[in-house]
Amino acid sequence: MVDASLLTNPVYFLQNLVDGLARGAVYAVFALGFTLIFGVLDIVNLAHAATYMWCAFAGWVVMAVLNMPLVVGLLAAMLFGGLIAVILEFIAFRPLRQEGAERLAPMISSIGVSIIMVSLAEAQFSSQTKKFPSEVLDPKPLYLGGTDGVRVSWAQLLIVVVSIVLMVALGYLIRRTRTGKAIRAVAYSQRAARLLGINVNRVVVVTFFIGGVLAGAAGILVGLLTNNINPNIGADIELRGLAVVILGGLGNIEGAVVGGLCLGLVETFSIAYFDRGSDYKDAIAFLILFLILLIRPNGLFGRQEANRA
Amino acid sequence: MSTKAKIGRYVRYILYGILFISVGGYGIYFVQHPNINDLNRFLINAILGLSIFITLNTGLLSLANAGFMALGAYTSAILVAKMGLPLFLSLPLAMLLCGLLGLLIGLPVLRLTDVYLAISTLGFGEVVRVLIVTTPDLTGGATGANLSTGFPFEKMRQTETWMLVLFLLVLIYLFYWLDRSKTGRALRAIRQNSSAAANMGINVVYYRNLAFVMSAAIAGGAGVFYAHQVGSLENGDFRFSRAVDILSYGVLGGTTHWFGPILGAGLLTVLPIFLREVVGTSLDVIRNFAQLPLIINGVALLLVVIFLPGGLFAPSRFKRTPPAINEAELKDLEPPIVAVDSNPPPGESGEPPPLLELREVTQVFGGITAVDNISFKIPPGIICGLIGPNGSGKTTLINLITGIYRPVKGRIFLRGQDITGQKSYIIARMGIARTFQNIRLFNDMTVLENVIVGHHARIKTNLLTTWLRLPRERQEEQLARRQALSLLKRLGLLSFAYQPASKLSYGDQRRVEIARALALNPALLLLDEPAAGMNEVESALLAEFILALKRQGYTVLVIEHHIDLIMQVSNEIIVLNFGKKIAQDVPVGVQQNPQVVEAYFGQE
Amino acid sequence: MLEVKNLSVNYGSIEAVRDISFQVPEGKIVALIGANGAGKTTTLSSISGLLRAARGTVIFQGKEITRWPTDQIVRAGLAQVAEGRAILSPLTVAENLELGAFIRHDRAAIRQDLEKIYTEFPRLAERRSQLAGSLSGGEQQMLAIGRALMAQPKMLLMDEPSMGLAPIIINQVFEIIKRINLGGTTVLLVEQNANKALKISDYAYVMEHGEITFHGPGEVVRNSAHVVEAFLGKG
Repeated sequence: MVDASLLTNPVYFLQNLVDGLARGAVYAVFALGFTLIFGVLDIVNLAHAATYMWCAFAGWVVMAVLNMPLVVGLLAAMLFGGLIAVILEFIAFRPLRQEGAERLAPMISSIGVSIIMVSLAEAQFSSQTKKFPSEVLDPKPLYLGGTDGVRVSWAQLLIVVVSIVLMVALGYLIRRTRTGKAIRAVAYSQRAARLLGINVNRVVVVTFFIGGVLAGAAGILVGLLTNNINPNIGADIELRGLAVVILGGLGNIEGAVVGGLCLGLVETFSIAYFDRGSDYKDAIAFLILFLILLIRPNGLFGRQEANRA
Repeated sequence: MSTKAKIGRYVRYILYGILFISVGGYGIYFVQHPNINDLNRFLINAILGLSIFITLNTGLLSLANAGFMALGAYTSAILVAKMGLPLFLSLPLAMLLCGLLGLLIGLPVLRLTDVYLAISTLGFGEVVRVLIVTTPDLTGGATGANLSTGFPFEKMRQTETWMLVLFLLVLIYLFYWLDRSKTGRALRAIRQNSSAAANMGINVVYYRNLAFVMSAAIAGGAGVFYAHQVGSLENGDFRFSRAVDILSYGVLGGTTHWFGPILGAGLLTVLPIFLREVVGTSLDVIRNFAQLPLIINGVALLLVVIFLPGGLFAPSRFKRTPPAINEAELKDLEPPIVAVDSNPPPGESGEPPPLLELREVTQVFGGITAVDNISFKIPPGIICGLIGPNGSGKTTLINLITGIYRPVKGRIFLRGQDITGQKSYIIARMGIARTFQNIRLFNDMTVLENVIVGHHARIKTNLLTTWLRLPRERQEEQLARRQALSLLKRLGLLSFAYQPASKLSYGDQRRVEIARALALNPALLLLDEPAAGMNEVESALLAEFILALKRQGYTVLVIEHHIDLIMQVSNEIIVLNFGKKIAQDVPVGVQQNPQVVEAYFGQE
Repeated sequence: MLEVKNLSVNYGSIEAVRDISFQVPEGKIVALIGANGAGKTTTLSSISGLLRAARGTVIFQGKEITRWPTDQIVRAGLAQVAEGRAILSPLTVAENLELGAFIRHDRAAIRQDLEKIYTEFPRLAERRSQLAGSLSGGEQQMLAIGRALMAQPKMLLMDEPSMGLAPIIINQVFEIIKRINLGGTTVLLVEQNANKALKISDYAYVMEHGEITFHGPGEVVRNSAHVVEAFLGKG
């Protein structure tokens, strides 16, 4: 445990709450893409994290190299993510869907694509860290309750706002729109969807696009938050994303949001309240994942029957 | 041939071409600049390839092997360099540790569907790296295990080529015999269809764990040699890209024969060296492109998964000239038929107790009652028909009896013993065998092997007898083979024995599936729509076949829509509608039952 | 309106349908009856493009649709009410109906049709915001039919609409089919419940073991000894 005075300090607690929520919001956005693609297609897309990483670079190029404003950078990163995901669907997933390949094949092909994407990023950007110029986001934080109060950075504020917008938009899209209903129909039964006149391949492309947009948003937001973009940031978030998805139940959208926030908070608080917590923070996600598989394999909010063996 | 298969052929040619060019080119270079380190690296990678082979061959995708490799490497480095243990002691200790950890991870995860193993092992390597970094006193932490952290190079550097060759040969020996044993058959059966394997009495969770533990131990062994080959360690050596490398050896080389991953390791080890040292000398672009090996890796994975699903080396498992069958030695080997000779004496009422009894069994799916309060008894030695309109709960009932589902209410008894909620493989061993609506034969096995899988629980061999080549191994395997052949003979299927199951006609596949179920020596045989898709002639032949089973003493419960067939073979018929039993009677009684006529024909 | 010529379909390794030919004239109800496993559903799936025909042709309104993808066939006006009803249980009743009109873009007309369906099936109106999976079997069948009508099909393929339903509901379902047909929609009715199906059909084909073994006007088939045999065995 850390210094006892910190344990009773309310500002310290609130500070960590804010940091944890911002972190968790990004995890949630990232995990949403994962869980959406799994929910609709039963595919664990292990190239999701590589997409995320490339989008962070895309946003960086737009804002730091081309000197475009923040909004353009955000939109560019999200669009880029959508495009990558659609390309992945065509080269790595569709060929495996049409002739009833082995169940594990899409996962293996996504690993193949992922390693290519990471290597290309290393070749292009080298392993060095890229930073955003200070014009993009004011590096000076806001203070709630004076300079001794809770510190909120502009990046954190942006993250929370963008994440909420994205989650609400996704919820609206899935629940209310024609496309969303088609996506849910395909997720439930591709056969039934076809009989309704739905072009399943087109819906799959749209689903990948949305997943990619979410990866892109998460990528650029984390880039802004940590101001540290390198080809390995995908590896850092991948396991967390999977842990969140398992925590919320594979394919469960609400679960991913709650799971993401939980993981963000648990990580932040364990760093804050435990000695050497930061050394172990990368293991926390694994621990959560493992505990969930041990106790509740269908996730905290899961309904589906996962146990078959 | 499909376009994809055609492209697959070219992909194979191209990859073999690349293999020959790079191995040849590198070979010439090697003669001029012999480098034993490259050779050792290849051998270590080949061992890693075998470590992933055993899991892929069981239908499991594990990404933990880089983690186990790291664990083995650091464990042995500490034991050897810090505690002064000799390598030949640290090797088994490190492997044992990896195996135990494998069991710890596998036990909870391998109960679940296959996706979960990949997900949960994805992070394992990272966790091992976190452990390494956070224990600097023990492992050298982020600095790495080298002289400055107490791992002197001269103590560390102990791996010799002969050790690697010996280790690899031992593994090949183990895998060679494993593939020809009960265990190997079980692993392949699980890969092809885990639910059919469970219904053959195979404990799927046990074998998945066995494969995963072996894989962990072998990867740990490779790590030990790696540590003492390189002479120093860094946690960065065991990143995710290492896990992908290992996976690629297996996927690229092939996962049906032990030689596949060795070939894959060869290609992926030699190609980068060839490109760098030979091609790179004249092409700076390649020389300076540090990521090239990984990109090649990724492209190869993608191409192979899409166009060449079996991998580079996927020889046919089937012999072109099957061995001759000595029919004389098959006499008197017919397995005892449980239903006949284990009949308990008649009860007080004079009636024999029922073989199978269901008491008020209910099953609900998502609010819909698929099976509604069903009770019935089946006495031994009869054929009982189970009919009803589509969706009336027939297959659900069979899935309840065979333990695929656990009923929400009610109990199921076999010979008076409560089997409610038992695991499928235990129910199969207790004497209930089944066939499936959609045939689930093990397609890359011969008909004979399919039937031998049915003997699984009765073959009294284990890994020790397999690997030590004890006389019992040979005797048991021979016995199972002869019994299986004699069963095939009795069922008139002997001529198919050495043919691939997938090459048989539909009707023959059905009969082989029944034969495989009979190899369990079941007290009760459940047939789920055995005549589906058969024409009148075929279904008449099947009726004869089923009647012959009855004469041989089997008890059969058969679901069927071919009413002719049901009426012809059944002693008794149970009729379901809306998950409820609406009749149980002799065939004529059922035909005249107004409720049945209503449910089936809609007569008012 | 629909013509099937020499159709053969494989289902896995089974040759489930062998060289069958039949026609459905415009405005009629044609029944395809036979025991379970006779190949009726396979035939429908291949007309709808869910299964690929091994041989033979399917012609709808003069156009060959044999290798068209399913969504295109549905857009051409050939809708199917699938066996097991294929309703989307995690969606609400209203959402299911709205998805029925997925191929249409005339919003106002869709809303009108939706109201029409609700008047036709008051039970669905009551339960419009419930999840479809929570409906009873009969209600689910109504929903499936209503949903197919939302596509304004020229022709309706109905796969075992009576399956798993109580007799009283079955009567209702067949009345609805009759009414739909009177409204101008051609119907191909696949049924195991031969007696009821034949009563409302203009013409009927009997399928056994993947082949058409008998055909004729509904009344003729109904009184044929052949049909009785096919369903209840020769015993």
